[in-house]
Amino acid sequence: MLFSSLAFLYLFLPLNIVLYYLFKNKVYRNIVLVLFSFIFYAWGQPLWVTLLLMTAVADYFLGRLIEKHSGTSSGKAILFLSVAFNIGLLVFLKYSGFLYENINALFSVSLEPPSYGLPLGISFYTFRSVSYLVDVHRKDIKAETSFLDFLMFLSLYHLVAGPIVRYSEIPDQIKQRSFNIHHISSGINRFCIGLFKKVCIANIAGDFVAQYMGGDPRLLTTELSWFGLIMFTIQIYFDFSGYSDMAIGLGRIFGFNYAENFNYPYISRSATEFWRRWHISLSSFLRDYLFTPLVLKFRNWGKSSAIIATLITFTICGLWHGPSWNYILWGFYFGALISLELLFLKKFFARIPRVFSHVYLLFSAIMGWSLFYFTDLSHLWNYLGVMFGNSENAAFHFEFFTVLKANIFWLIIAIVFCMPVYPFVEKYLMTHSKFAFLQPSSLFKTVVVIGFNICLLLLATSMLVGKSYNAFLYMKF
Amino acid sequence: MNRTGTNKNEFIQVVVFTVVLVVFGIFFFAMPHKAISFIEKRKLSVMPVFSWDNLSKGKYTDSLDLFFADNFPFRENFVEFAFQLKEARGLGAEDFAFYRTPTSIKPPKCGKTKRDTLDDSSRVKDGEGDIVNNWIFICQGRALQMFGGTNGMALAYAATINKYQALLKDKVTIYNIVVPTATEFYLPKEYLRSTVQEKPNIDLINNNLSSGVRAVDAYSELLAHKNEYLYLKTDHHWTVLGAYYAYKAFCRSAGFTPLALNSMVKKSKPNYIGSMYDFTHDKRLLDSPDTVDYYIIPGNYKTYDYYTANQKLAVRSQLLVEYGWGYGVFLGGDFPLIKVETGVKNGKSVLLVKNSYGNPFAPFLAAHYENVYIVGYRYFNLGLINFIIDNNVNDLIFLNCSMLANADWHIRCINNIMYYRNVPIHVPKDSLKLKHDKDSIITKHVDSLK
Repeated sequence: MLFSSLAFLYLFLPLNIVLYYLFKNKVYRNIVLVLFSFIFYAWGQPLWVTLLLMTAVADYFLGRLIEKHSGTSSGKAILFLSVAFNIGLLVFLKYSGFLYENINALFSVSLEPPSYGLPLGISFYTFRSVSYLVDVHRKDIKAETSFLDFLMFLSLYHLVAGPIVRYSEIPDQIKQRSFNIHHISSGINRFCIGLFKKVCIANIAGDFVAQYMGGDPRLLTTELSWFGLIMFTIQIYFDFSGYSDMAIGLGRIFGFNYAENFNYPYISRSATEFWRRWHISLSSFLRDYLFTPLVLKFRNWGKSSAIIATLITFTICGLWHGPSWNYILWGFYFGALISLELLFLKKFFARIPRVFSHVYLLFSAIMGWSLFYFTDLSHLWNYLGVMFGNSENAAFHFEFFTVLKANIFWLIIAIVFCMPVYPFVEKYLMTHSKFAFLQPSSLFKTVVVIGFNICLLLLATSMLVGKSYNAFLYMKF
Repeated sequence: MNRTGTNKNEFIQVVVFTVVLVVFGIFFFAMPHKAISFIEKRKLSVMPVFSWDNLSKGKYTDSLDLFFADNFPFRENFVEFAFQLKEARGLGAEDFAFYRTPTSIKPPKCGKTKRDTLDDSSRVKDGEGDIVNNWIFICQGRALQMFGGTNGMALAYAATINKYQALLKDKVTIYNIVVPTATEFYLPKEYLRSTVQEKPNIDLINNNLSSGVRAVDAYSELLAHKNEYLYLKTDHHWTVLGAYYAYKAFCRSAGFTPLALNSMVKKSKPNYIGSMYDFTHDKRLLDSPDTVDYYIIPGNYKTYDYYTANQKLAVRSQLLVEYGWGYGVFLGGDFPLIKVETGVKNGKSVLLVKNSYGNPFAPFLAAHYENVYIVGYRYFNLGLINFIIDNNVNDLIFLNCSMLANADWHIRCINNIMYYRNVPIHVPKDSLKLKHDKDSIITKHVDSLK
C-alpha cells in the first residue's frame, strides 16, 4: 500500500484516525496502530509480514538480553550477533542477487541466485532495529519491556520508507502520547503538502524521466538529455521529501514528533552541506553508527582518518540504496567530493562569490543523479555522451521547446519549491502585524488553511484517479 | 494568543479534513459503480475474484487498488479536471504532443531463454538492440509511433525467415509480409527527420530473403489506399481495412481471388480508445475515438483456441469475438495457437505466424484453406518445424509490422519457436479478459477445465 493511493487516503487513513481516537486507553491505541501497520505491510506482500513479526520478536528479546549483559564481553558478543542477524537478513534478501552476479562474473560460474523479492520497508526497519540494539548496548536507552510497544515502534507504517527514526528519539511518545489538537492540525497540513509534492510534482517529473531517461539515449538531443536528468533531479527530491512530509504529518496526527528529514538540499553550497540537508535521518544514522566509530578507530592517522571514514561511510550509504554498482559508485562519488572539500575545496569556494559554490553543488548533485539512475553503466556512459554533445540528432529539436512550453508553469513551481519559499512566506505572514487576520486564533486563517488542505487533497486526488499504481522511488528500499 | 480560540479553530480544521476523507469513503460504498468510463471509453475494473494464491502474490490487493481507483466517487469529474490541470501546466495547448516511451510492447518471456537457439547468423550485433520505437507523436488526433529500425535488424529478420526456408523448403511455400505503420503515411513532412523511413527497411528485408520465399508487397497496396481508414488513430494496430489490403496483396502472390469487401457483412464497434491513450493519457486521443470495423467471413468454420499450459487442449472459440472489446474482436486476443476448420474442401492448410498485428488479417484466410493454423509467436511452445510437418501445412506466412520486424526480442521469439522448448508458459493477458464475460463460450470451457 502507498500513501499516495486512493485506497489509503479514503479508506485506510480515515478508518485509522477514527478508530485510534475512539479509544482513550493508550494500550488500545497502540494495538490499533500495530494492527493497521500490519495491514499496511501485508497489503501486497502478505507473507513478508511474518518476517517483520519475527524480527520484532527476535530484537525484543535480544534487546533485553543485551541490557542484561551490558558492560560485559558477552553483552558485546550478543550485540554483534544481533546486529549481524539483522544486517544478515537484509543482505540475504536485498543483496544476494548482486553477490551472485559478481561471483559469477569473477569466477566465470553460473550460480543461480535466489529470487525472494524484497520485503517492504526492510532497509528502514532494519536500521531502526540496529540503532535500538546499539543504543541499548551503549546505555543511551533502556530496553523496551513491553513487546506491544516495541512491535509498534518497529512496525509503524508511517516510517515504512523513512525517515529512520531511532527509538532514543521517541521513547516517551511510544509510551504516552497526549491529545494535542495543534499537532494533529499541523500534521494534516504537512501530510497534504507532502501528498501534493509527491503526486503533483514528483509523479509528473517521473513521467518525463521515464520518457527521456528510460529510452534509448541515441535518440535524444543534448538538451533533451539534460532535461531528462533535471527532471530526475526534481523527481527524486519531491518524491522522497514529499514522502517524508507525509510520514511526519502522519506521525503528528497520531501524536508522534519525528525529526525533519529534508531541509532544502538544493540550496546547499557544498556536498558536505548537501548531506546535512538530504535524508538527514540516514546521514545522521551513518554518522553516529559508522562514521564516528571509524574515525575513532583510525584516529592515529590524523586527517586521513576523516577521509577514509568518509569514503567508507558514503560507499556503504550508496550500497544501502541498492544492490548495484552504480549506487556504490554514487555513494563513493559523494564521499570523494566531501573529502576534496575537506582537503581544499571548501576553502577555495569560501574565497570566491557564493554563486559559484551554488553552481558547483547543483552541477555535482545533478551529475550524481545520473549515476544513481542508471544501473547499467554502459547506458550511463551513452547518456553522458549525449549530454556532452555526442548526439547524432541536431540540437534544439522543436520537441524540447514544445515540451518546455507545455509545462513551463509547472516547472517554475517545481524549481521555486526546491527553495525555502514556504517557510519564508509563513514566517513573514506571522511576524507582520498587517497580517494579524492570519494569526492562529483567527477564523479567517482556519478557513484559509482548510481550503488549502482540501485544495491540495483534491488536486492530488484528480491526478491519482484513473492512474494505476505509482510507487515511491524509495519504496524499493 | 487566544489558545481556546486557536484550539477550537484547529479542531474545526481537523474535523473538516477527516469528514472529507470519510465522506468519500462512504460514497465509494454507497454510490452505484459504473461499468464503463464514458470519458475514457473503456471498461472499468470490476471487483477482483478472491483467491489465496492471488492474495499471497499481492495480485488481489493490486486489483483492489485498481478497482477502488476505477470506481472512485465522481471519477469522471476528477478525470476531466485532471485534463484541465494538464493543460494549465504550460502556455496553451498545441495541436501536437510528444511522448517518449520505452518500446511499447514488453518483451515476452520467449525472448531470452536458456535454450535460446539463436545462432550467429541471426544474432543481434552489439549496439543494435530492442529499441525500434522510442516515442509517440500525437498530431491531428492521431498517435504515431516513430520508427527506429536499422539495417542490422532488418537483415536479422530476413535471416530468421531464411532459416525456416532452409528447413522446410521442399515442404511448404513461405510468404513474408512486412507492413508499414501509420507513421509512414501520416507523419507530416515537417517532422520527417524524427523518424526513419520504413520502405527502405521493408525492401531490405524482402531483398535478402532466400529465393524460395515469396515477398508479398503489401506496402504498395496500402500506399494506393492511404487516404482510407487503414490504421487506428488511438491504437498501435491497423484496421481491418488495412489488413484487407495486405490480404489482397497476399492473394496476388498466392494466386487466390480475394474476397470482395462488399461480399461480406460489415459490422462496427464505435468509440474505441486504444493503447496509445493508455501510454499517453492524452486528451486529444479521447476527442478522436476509433471505430473498429470487422467483416464476417462467409462460410462454415469452427475455431479452436489452444491456450492451456500444454497447448494441446482445444477450447471452442470464434474467429470474430463479437462481444470482445475494440480490437479484441479479432480472434478474441492473442493465443499460442488457434485452429480453424473451414468448409473449404481443398485439402490445403496454412499456418500464419504473427503477433497481435496479424489478428484482423487471419480471418480472411478461412476463405481459401481447409485448415488455418494461427500461431502467436510470443507464446507458442510446441515446436513449429515439427508442427508444420506433422499437420501437413502447405503454406507458411510470416506477418509482421515493420516496427516489430526490427525488434530483437521478436526476432528471437520467431527463431526460438522452431523447436519444442521446456519453458514456463506465459498465458496471454488478453485471453484472460474474456474469462470474466459470463456469455463467453470460453468461460464455460475454462470453468469445466478447472
